[in-house]
Amino acid sequence: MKASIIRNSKTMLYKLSILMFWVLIWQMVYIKIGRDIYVPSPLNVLLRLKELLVLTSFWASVAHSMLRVAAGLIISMVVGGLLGILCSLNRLLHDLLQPMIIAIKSTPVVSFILVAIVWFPSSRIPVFICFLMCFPVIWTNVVSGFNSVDKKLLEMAQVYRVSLFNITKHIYLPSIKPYFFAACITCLGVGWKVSVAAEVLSHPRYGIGTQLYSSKVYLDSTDLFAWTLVIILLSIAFELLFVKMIELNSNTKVKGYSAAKGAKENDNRSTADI
Amino acid sequence: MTIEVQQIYKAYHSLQVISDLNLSLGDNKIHCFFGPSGCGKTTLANLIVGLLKADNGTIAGLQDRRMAYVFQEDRLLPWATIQENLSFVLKKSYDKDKLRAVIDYHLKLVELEAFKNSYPAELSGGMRQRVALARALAYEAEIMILDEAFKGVHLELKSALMDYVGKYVEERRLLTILITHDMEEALYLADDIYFFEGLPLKLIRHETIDIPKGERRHRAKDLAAYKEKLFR
Repeated sequence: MKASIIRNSKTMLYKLSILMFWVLIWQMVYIKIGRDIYVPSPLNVLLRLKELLVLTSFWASVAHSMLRVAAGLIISMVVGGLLGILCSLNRLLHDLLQPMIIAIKSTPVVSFILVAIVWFPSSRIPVFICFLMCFPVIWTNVVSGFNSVDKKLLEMAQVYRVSLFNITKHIYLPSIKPYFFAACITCLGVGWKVSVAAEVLSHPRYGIGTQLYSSKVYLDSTDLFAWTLVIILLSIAFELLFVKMIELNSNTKVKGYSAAKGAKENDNRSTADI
Repeated sequence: MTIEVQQIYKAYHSLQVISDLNLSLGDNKIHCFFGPSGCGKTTLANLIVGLLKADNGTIAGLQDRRMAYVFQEDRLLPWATIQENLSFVLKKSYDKDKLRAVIDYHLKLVELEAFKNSYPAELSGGMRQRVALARALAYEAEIMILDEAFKGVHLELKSALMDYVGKYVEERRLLTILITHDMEEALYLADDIYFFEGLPLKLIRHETIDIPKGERRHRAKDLAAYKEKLFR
């Protein structure tokens, strides 16, 4: 017990010193350049963040952005998951959808944002953009998860005449699970980035992107950095929360089959281009 | 009911694995397919259970009969416990209480009752093979295929399991196909031994062993005579 506390605090100290190293680099760059408008000092950014924390508009912006990202992600997971399974079962549907997915994946996100500005009210645009960027990632991973199913297990189930329902539940879904979760984790990061970008261009009444935009308009770099820091922290928090949720919900603790581990292994498989 | 294999042909791309094979397998017997590895025995078994389709020819006498198969690999679901693995194939055959009893009984049989909540990755290869055997025995099939089923099982348990399988087949009158390249295993358990060569799979010799299974342990000399005949 005591040993583990010491070990934990040691790794904490280790990670903290790495963080300090980069903050120090930041500070040195600031000293060298010497103008807040180019690179604000780390201390000023932190102080600005502290000022922001007491404002109601800060919390309103954060809450609205969080809701939008969450909505975009949930729609992507549901639609991507369902369509992924349907396309795995039906060759024609897969071939029909694939060109569209590839087209979405290779289109610059700003093109979509600019079109969406014409189509939707400003508060809906980030949700739509988040969906558009995340859904293909989930779809692709679910399809490749389906293709990775061990044919030998399917043969075994066929000989023993296991019902399609049970084959789906006990062979297909567990095989897809790590791929699906990996895609979700990728999407958590991507979702934040593209949603905020959409907010910057569409400026809804409340939103982190709207705040970023006004920092830019007033050439307030300290503000810009502070808000960026908020995005990074929220993105990390979303990811941590999601991984925790997976771990609590799955009893797949077996080596090599833990959802979180599978997710890490597949992480580089599914990076969306933005 | 007898399984009649009639003029079966099977090729993988340009590789002819089975060519014009005829075989008649009677019920209530252990038929041993004996031959070097890679000679096409497993392909024949897969044709019989319907996992593969023959290019030509027919296999009669299968009509929807329940089949169990111990594959060369264990083929256990890696994300399910040993208990869940058994219930995956058994649960539609038994009600809940009976299912638990059947699983416990068969895991005890292969000496793995302590591992019923373990995952396959936590077991050794031989232990997983025993789980696969328990799964097949618990299924109450009419046709059972054992493809190297005793591989990796230690000697003492192996002979106990072989005794059990022999008795099990006799009691339930099911047709069993034992695929092996272990002659001792074949001589100990089989009613009929089919000596194959390949590729393509060709039946070289067929011997029916008339010594009752209970006596074989003590009649090594007679068994040796069969062995001589098969290898002549």
